[in-house]
Amino acid sequence: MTLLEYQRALSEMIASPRLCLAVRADPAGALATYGLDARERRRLAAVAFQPGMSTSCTLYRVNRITPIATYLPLTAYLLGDALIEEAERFWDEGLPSDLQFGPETERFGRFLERRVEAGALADPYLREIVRFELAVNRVRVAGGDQPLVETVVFEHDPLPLLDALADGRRPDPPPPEGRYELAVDATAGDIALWRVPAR
Amino acid sequence: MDARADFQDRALAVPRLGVGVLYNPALPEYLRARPETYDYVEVIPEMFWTDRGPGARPRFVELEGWIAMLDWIAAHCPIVGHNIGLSLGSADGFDDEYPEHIAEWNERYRLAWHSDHLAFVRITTADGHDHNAGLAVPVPYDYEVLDMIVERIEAVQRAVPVPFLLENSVAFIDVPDQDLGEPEFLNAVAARTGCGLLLDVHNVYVNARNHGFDAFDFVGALDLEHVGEIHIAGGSELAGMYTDSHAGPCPEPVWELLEWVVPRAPNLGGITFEFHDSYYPLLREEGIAEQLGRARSVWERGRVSA
Repeated sequence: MTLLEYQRALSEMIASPRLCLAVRADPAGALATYGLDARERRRLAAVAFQPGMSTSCTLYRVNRITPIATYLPLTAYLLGDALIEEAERFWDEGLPSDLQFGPETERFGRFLERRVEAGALADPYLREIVRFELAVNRVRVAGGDQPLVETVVFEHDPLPLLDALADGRRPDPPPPEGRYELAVDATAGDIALWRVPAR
Repeated sequence: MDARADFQDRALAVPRLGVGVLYNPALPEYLRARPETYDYVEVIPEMFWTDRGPGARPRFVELEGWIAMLDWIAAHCPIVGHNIGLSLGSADGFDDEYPEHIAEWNERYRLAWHSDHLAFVRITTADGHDHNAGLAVPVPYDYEVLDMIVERIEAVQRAVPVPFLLENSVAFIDVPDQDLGEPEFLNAVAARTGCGLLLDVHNVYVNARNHGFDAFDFVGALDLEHVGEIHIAGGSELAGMYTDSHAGPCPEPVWELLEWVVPRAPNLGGITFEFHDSYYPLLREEGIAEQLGRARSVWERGRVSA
């Protein structure tokens, strides 16, 4: 069914400005892997040059970065200018895109954790803040048999850290290091945070 | 009664509600404070659940806090459903579980009607992943696609026993060499299925402005007796084009299109104002009331002259 191939090619062009540029430069070569008929090849070669394709590519990226900025705001703050660079790297991994905010945010968070573990991202607070915000998002939408309370392990005292980040600044002085457990609790509706006593 | 006649009866059964607003997270306070300004609330069901994907059990996990607000709305006024996830135009198959879930919602909320877009938003990649296209991508207006869309709308109509309306899309790209124009395609879908049309006059304005055609020629080419609902909204510039960003109040050309269409659409059930919640600070309560009041004036004038 060539319509399916046409839609695959078009949606992949919208997701990839690089593919659009490749189609502009060499339509036959760039579209060779798709099973298209002659009219579909002509259509895609034509739309690759249209301003509307650039707008579509921009909208695609806006729509993918929105859940990340909305649901991982402290993570986005810590990443700063590196946010877009990391998002681009995440998208380039070729994982399926999911514009349901929850799954897309969870996948990006897991990606950042892997980047921290690989030593590619050095911010000392990033890993625990990613874990914290993912937990907040999960309990906020928990339904059925999903837990309404999660415990997040911090390597820095979480309360001064979260207070500072909520104010839009890095903590100064740095919060004490150690092992801290913070409960993220949605059992009463709104999110409550409380320290889990040390065992 | 044969199936097609039954479908046509459902299209004609769009109730005349009046003026509504598309729900967003900025609206709860407004809805409680200004009930006299709207006759119904349109909701995007996908905002109220997390979809864990085909085959997952449970697949649709509802967001409890949001559902509480929806229950409040349903207790106070009619609800109209406006889906974004049917992906009627996806060539790789139709997700039968989706209309079944809409039918369950209809059981709970007694939707006055429901709708989705003439577009695709999801496609399976060559390696079998589900890929979200990131925006509603228009389908080519070809006979092959027409047959596919008709078949899917009929499946939706069989599953959900309230009128279904198909919305015209925004198209930033201009696909050459199509079998039909968009109005002819929409007319053909409506004629063959008995579905109604959700005419988004702002989308028409967006396409006309970006592609240089006359918006009145477009709406004049539609069979307006099929129009069951009209969307109005504002937009903004992005990357050199005007977009359907739902950015605050409607521009004047949208009001002019609305004035022209309403008296010519005899089966119109409602006019819905859409805005994105991030533009609430621009509109505020009075701005929303002003947009709805202006829409109501057009509705009332149109009902008198229709």
